[in-house]
Amino acid sequence: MACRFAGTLAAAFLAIASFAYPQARAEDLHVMAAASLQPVLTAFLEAHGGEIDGDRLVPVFASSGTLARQISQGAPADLFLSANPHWADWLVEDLGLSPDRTADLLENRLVLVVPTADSSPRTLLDFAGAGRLMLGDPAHVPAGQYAKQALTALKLWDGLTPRLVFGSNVRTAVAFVERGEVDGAIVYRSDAVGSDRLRIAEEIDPGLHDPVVYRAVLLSDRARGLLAALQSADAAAMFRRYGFEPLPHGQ
Amino acid sequence: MIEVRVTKGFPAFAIDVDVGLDEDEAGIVALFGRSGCGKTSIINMIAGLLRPDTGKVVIDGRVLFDSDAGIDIPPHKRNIGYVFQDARLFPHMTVKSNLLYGAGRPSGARFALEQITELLDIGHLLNRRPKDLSGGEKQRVSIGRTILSNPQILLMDEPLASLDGARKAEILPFIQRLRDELNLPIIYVSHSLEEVVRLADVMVLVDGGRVAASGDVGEITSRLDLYPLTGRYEAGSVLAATVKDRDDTYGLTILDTPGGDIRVPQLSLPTGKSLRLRIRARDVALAIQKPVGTSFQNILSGTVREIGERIPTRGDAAADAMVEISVDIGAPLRVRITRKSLDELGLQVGSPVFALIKAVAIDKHTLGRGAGSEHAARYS
Amino acid sequence: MTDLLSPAEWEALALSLRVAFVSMLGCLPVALMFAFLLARYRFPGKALLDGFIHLPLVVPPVVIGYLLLVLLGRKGVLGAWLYDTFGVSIAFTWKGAAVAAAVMALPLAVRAMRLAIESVDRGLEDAAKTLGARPMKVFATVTLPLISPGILVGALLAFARALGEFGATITFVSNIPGETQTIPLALYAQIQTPGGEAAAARLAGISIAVALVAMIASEVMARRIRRSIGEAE
Repeated sequence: MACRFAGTLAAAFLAIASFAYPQARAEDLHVMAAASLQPVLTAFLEAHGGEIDGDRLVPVFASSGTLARQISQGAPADLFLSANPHWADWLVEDLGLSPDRTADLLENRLVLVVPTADSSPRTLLDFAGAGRLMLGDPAHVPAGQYAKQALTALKLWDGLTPRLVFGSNVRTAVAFVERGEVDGAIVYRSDAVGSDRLRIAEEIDPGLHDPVVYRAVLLSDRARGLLAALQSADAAAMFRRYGFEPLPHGQ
Repeated sequence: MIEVRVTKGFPAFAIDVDVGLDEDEAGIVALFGRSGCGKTSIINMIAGLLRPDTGKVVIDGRVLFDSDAGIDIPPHKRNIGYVFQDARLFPHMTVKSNLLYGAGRPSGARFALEQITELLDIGHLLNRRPKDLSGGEKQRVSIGRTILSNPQILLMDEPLASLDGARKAEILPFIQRLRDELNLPIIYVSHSLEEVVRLADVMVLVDGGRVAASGDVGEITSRLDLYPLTGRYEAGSVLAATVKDRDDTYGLTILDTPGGDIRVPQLSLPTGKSLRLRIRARDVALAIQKPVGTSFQNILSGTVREIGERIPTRGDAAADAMVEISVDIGAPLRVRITRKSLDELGLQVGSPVFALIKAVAIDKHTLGRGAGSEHAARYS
Repeated sequence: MTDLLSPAEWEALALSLRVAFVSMLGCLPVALMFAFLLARYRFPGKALLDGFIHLPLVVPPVVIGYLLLVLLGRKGVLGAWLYDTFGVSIAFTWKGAAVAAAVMALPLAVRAMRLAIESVDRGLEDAAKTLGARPMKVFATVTLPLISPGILVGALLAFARALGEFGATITFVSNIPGETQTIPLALYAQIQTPGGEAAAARLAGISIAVALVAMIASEVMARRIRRSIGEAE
């Protein structure tokens, strides 16, 4: 009898406690950012103590395509940072925003990475014959779209298709290479810079694909301060450290 | 006044009864018949647990069911108590909670908890759970629970059927006390003639869904034409008697019956006490002259009223040796003799005879109580 | 103690518990109603209703998530009306996660309760009626106590199922930390994140531990209740 009472009490306590844990608040700033920005933005948030102008920053990382669709479906977002202009423009049109609410922030490059343990020289051509290669899913991951463009230009796409692994975002590809679960992956240079468990095997010619441009979409005016902070000189230095190329303000 | 006129079709047979009973006095009306003849369905229809196809059920002027008028009062409003064959105590409640379950009925408490627990000797069980009770205890609690819900009338569906002999003997007296002390009309369903004889004053004989006969218990059990229904093994008669005197020298009690004096081994009952006797047909012999020099203490004179069909001995090739006769000694007396004797004595309807009853054949265990046939019954 | 898990993991745990509790509470009355309907009544279309209720058990969870999106998403058939009329939207919120979990748990709860209802001795209910109990009283004092083990089992099954809900959740309300990122979704995210192996292992451990506790608790409590209503163990 006492056992049953104690059990119910414990359950009640857990239920109440689960509600007591801090929940999302209205003054939160939701930043939906491309997965490749996770390391650098996390550092940025830490540097600012998780707040901008008194608003708590809540980041959500996923592939740009996934985020764009979610925002279109009504997911709360104040700022959208897409890894390609395509998804940013798609959202602007979908929501009927004016084009002056976008800003190009960064550039990046595509690289072929392999696990550090694999010390032999590797190129994309090597993968044409054997080995598992991982990309972001070209359907919604910008890195995947860029990679597909490059592979198609090199006439390697068709031959590779059966051995390609698609990840739901570019960081997944990084994780799988780090663990050695795939033989290589096409990711951003910013991804390679931050990891010692993989190394750049080949830099991919930027001419083979569309320019990798990170375009921001301002979804609510409350994020103006955040956007400005991201375009500041301090932020630019941080971006460079993480392997990105900040674009001059106003492009 | 109980009026039950209902029909209901089942795959195997149809029920079609029409019974009216005057319940001027509280007493027990027995619904008797073989298993499967529809007795339980009939009382289920009285209780409202089964819907008749057509008909009418009226108790004490209250119409509980009337198919023509579209009346069908739900069971919880019928104020009818029902003791089930399987006790049906609520397993998640204590005995006390079970007993008091129906006690809140608006009709007001007529019986107190202590009164009933004392009557049924269940006071010491109040805090137990049904699963810790014996079969007999469960049944007594069930009876108590039903009474405490203050019903207008009590239905009992073979309450002793699921009990063994010892438990039955244990509970029968309690049911008799119910009858005597609570002044509550009771309809008692049973397929055991022994129980019926012991408890009931009026019986309704049910066969194949229809009422074959209804009336005084003594009368019905002695009717030869109902013999196949009342059962071969218990063939006999019921006689109402009153204690008249005591013979201390020989340790006998003298009983006054409609047929005359009957002597039985000493009963510890006061003079004037009325009771019932069962006399098995096989324990009676007949003589056309009053015999002398026999050991028969009980010799009653009467007339042959009915001569029955030949009775085939069960499974015996040398069959129909016996025949049953009904003799009027002031009350009907069933007698079984050989066909040979019947012919040799030249007995016919109207022949004067003497019935010789072996004193020791009057079985004390079937001594029943009863006031006699003050219950009028209508048969159709 | 708080260093056992990172803040994000505590958040996922708290969110998981909240979603599981709320979805269980919402699922229970609906499941009880359906269980009674299926156990006690006959009506045209009963087989169809039974089939629909069991859909989340046999259809891929992602499909259920997709249907929820079509129905209750901000642009969904019902969701759009709800948003326009009341300004209420459950997409991308923990409430949406609770709805997804409740839908997935419903068939389990219904099955457990239906079994319990079907095994109630109707004779006891008849006895209660003859003792003057109105239908509501019969239900409350006889039927409900006798089916309480079944209700408990159904509730805890629903709770455990809600804790583990993934496919419908991630499809309907997506993977938003602090809002919809329950433990399974957090684990999924960690697997896809470089360096997330340790966190993934911790989350898996929590998930298993909580589920085990829930299952054991359910069995113990059900046994106690069965004993108190006088059934053989």
